[in-house]
Amino acid sequence: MKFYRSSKIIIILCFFSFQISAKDEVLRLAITKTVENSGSNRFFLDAIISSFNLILDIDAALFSIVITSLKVSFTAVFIASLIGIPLGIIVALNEFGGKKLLLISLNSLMSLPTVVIGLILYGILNRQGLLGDMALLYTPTAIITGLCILVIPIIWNLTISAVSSTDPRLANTCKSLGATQTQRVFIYISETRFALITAIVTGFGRAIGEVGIAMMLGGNIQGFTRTMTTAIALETSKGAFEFALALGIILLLVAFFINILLQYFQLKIR
Amino acid sequence: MKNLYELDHVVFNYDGNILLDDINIKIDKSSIVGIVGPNGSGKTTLLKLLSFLNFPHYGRFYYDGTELMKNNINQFRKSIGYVQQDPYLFRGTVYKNIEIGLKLNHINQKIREKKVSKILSLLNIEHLSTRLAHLLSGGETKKVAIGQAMILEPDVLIMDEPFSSLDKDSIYELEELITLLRAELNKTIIFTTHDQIQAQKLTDHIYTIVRGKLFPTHLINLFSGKFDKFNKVFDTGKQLIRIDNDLDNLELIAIDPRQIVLSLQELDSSMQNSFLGKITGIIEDSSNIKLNIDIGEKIQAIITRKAFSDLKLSLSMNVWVSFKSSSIMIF
Repeated sequence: MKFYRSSKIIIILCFFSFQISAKDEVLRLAITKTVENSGSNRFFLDAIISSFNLILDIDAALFSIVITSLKVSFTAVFIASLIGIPLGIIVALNEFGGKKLLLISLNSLMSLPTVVIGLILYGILNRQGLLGDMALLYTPTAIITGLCILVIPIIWNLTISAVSSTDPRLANTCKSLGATQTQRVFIYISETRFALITAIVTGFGRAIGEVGIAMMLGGNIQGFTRTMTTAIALETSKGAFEFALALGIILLLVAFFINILLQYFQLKIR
Repeated sequence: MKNLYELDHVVFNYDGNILLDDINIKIDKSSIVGIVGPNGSGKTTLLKLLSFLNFPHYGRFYYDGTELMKNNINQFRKSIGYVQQDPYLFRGTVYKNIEIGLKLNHINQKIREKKVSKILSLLNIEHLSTRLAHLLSGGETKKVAIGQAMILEPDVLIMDEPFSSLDKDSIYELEELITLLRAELNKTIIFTTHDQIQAQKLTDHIYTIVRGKLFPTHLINLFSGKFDKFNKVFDTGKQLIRIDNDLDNLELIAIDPRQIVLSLQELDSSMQNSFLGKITGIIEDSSNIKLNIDIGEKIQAIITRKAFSDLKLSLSMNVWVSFKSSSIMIF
C-alpha cells in the first residue's frame, strides 16, 4: 500500500509543478529568458504544458488509445508467456538433437525487425493471403498475433537462460523426489520466478513500444486499432505535437510504472 | 541376508571419460555402508548410480532381485532417499520443503500434515518448521534435506558427505540418527565420507573408491602425492616413500597396514622404507591392535596382540616403522 501511495504522490507532484509553471506568467518569463527565448524552445515548452493539460483533462480519444495499447500488449504478453515459459523450461532441461541450432535461431529471432513480422503477416492476412477469409487484417487480433511472434522468442530465450543458470542441484532434487516432467516445469517456474518476471517485463516493454506491427497489421483505425505508438507517429506528422507528446509521456509513465512494479515484486519474493 | 544391491562389472562414462570402472558391489538390506575415497575419485557418481539418478553404460545392476532397465529406473528411484552433499532447498519454509515430496505424489493434506510432523519430531527440528529454508545454518539445512528425502519413506537413504561442514554436536546427532534409522526403521544407509575413523565407527562395510575403481575393503594409509620416477620416490608433501616402480602418472598409493613392521631400533633389513615415528593412538580390535603412528604422515599399523605385548608399546612412545616397497598398492 505504501508503494502505491508514494508512487501516486510522485506523479501528482510532477503534474502539479507543471500546472504551476503553466499558470505562473512570471516564472514562465524567467524560464524563457534563461534559455534565450528562441522559437523552438517556446514551442517545446508550450507543447509539454498542453500535453499535461490533455492528460489531466482525460481526453476520451487519448483514453481509448491508451486502453487499446495496453489491451493488445497485455494480451500478447500473456499468450507469449503461456507459450514461451514452458517451452523455455523444457528446452533448458532436456538435451536433444538440434538444440544448439534452436538456441542460435532464438537469439536471432530476438532481434527480428518488427516491420518484417508485419510484412509477413500482412502477406498472410490480407484478402488475397492464406488466411484472408478470416478477415483479421486491421483488427486488434492481428496486432496481438504479430506481437506474440515478436515477444515469444524473447520470453522463450530469457526463460532458457534463467533455467540454465539455476543451481544444478535443483535438477537432482526434482529427480530424486520423483517429480514428473510437468511438475518439474512448475517447480522451475517457482524457483526462477524473479528471472521469469524480468523476461515477461522485457517482452512487455518490447510489445508496448512497438510501432511497425501495430501500423501494418492494425491499420491505425481510430477507436479500434490505434495504439499509442501509431498515434504518436500519426499525430506528429499531422502537426498535433501536443497530443503526440501527451501519448509519449503516458508511454514513458507506463514503462516506469512496470519497472517500479518489477522492483516491488523483486523485494516481495526474496 | 538378501542382497539389496548387486552391481556386476558396472561402468559409467561421462563425455568419453570412465568415471566408474568395473564396479562390483553387493549391499545387504538394512546395512550401513560407508564409501571413502579422495576428492574426484567417483564417490558422488557412484551414489547417483545407486540412487538411480544415473543409468550405467555397461554391466548388470540388480536392485532387490530385479535387473535395472531404462523402463523401471523411475520405479526404483521411489525407494531411494538421496541427500546431496550441499543440499538444495526450495524457496519457502522448512515445512514446505519437507512436504513437497508428498505433494508431488498427490498425498492428501491430512496425511501430509501427520507425516511432516512425524519427520520433524524424528529429526528434532519442530522448532524450525516455520523458518525460511534459505536462512538455515549448514547443519540445519542437512537435517531438512534428510527430512525431505525421508518423507517418502524410502527403503534406502543415500547421503553424500553428510558429516562435512557440521559442528561436533550436529555430527553426533546425525550419527545417532543413522543408527536409529537402521535399528528402528530397518533402513539401508549408504554414505560417503572423508573421515575414515567415522566410517569405521558407524558402518557394517566400508568400500574405498580410487579413480573410479571400487575396492571392497577399507584402504587404510591412502596417500596422494607426486612420484619422482628418476629417484623412485613418492612425495606425499609430508614424507618421502620409496617405491620400486617405473610408472609415469602415479598419484595415489596405499600401504597395507598388516605389512608394516614395528621395531624399537632401526632394522638392518632389505626394507626400503624405514621411519622413526610416535604412537598417537592405540585401538583394540577383537584379535589385533591398531596403532596410529605419526611419521610425518599419519599411518596406521595392525599388529597382533602378542607383538604388541612383546614390544611393550605404549602411547607417545617412539617406534621404528618399516615396510617393503612391495607392500605398497599403487593407483
